[in-house]
Amino acid sequence: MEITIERLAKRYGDRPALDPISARIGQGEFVAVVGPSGCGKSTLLMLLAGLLPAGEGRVLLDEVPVDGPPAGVSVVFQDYARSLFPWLTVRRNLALAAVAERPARAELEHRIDRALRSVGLPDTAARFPWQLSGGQQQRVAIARALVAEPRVLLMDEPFAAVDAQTRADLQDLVLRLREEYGVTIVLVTHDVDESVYLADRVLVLSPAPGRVLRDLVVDLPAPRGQLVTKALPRFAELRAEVFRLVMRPVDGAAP
Amino acid sequence: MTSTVERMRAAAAPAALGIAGVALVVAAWAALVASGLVAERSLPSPLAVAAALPVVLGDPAFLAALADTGAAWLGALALASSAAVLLGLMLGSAPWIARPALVAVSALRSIPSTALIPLAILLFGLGAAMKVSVAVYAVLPIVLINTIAGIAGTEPLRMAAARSMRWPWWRRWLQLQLPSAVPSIVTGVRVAAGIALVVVVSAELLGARSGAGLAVVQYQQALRIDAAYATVTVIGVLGALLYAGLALAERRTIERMRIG
Repeated sequence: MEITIERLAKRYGDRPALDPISARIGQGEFVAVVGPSGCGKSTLLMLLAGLLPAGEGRVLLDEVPVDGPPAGVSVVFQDYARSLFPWLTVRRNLALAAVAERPARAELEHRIDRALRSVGLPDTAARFPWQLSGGQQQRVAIARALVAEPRVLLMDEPFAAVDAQTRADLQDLVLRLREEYGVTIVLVTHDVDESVYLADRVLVLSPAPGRVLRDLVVDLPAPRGQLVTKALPRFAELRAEVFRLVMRPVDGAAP
Repeated sequence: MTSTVERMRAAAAPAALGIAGVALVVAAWAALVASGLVAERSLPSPLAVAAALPVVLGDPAFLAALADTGAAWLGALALASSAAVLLGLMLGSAPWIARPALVAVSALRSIPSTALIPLAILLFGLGAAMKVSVAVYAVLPIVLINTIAGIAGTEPLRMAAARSMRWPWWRRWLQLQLPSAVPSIVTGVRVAAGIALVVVVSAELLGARSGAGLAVVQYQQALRIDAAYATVTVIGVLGALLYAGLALAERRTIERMRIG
């Protein structure tokens, strides 16, 4: 699914959160959005998800304007503990993600089992989210997003709440899922390394109100790997460039 | 996970304190009667009351009256709770109506429910409908306010997740807002249960055709003061057991829901 962002802007009361942004994200592309905290990158993701009404401009998914949460789009939130349903088992949590499509019983069971296998948690269906570790809960949240068989996966700082080892595991999991499910991914993160390691393109936003400072193509070879990719000189160059843009002092960012 | 032993030890301390408290009250009561400050006619000794317990508990008329009180209590609690949850779900998802509605509810609540008993007698006579209506009036607002608060406390991120999964409004109602409000609703029902019992028995004291409250009045008029106190004791013990049971159910529910 192709995402077209046309002069999209948002303000909260008097405070502008996002200056008009335009971008195009191709089918199957992996785009990371980085920027200093409060720059409006999460706001951008909520606008793409149809969870916030746009102030100005619009978002098109395959030429269809977004007006509320669209079909074929799944969201993974940063805080798995607050986004999963603790009173339901993992299986019920996942089943409820597909209610809008009403798949047949067998098809639903198949999707749930496949999603849990894909995230490496095949034996957790009968358990409750709080019986799992933080990293496992975020895997469940990712599996829930997959059950709807999305064509676009929107991820809002999905690895910010877990430890470094788990974060690396989850990053590689997302790379695998991208291959397996062929989804378009937009990932919001404040982690510069993560954006360069995972994405095909990095959109660097300015401090609030966010606008696109740079649309950077990450020309690193696939498949990516924690040791190999991060040891490449090109990785260091790209990382440094994104880092400079993100860290740029506020007065230097003025037009 | 705490072990069963630890849990029992943790529960034993308050239980021991409770027993000590009750023993203290009974001792003070016995001392007061023994000192002769109060006439034995108005306050029999604890022993006399204990002796009257088998008489009261063996009286089929009293047991029927107790069952009557229990039925009115349970009926009022069930009616008030289900109405309040339904109303609260509707008001909770429409905050602009909820605020003025809550103001109206608070204003009505400033009329003590027992003051409405004479009015209820005029409207419904001396039967069960009278007791139940007053008790419903007394406890419906408690469950209602707790339901609305519980729904307002629904985790916003969970709401966002439900919206992004394109749940229709009724599914968000039933499978997110209602479960999120359950711990708060259960707390409301627990508090309401105690108040409903007080109101039902009060209504029976003031005028009803049947019930444990009426039994107290009848024993009193028959000059069986010891039996009247025994009746009060039975109602008190049953009330305490009910409360303890509901408090346990409340803790279990909150543990089970794991919202936090």
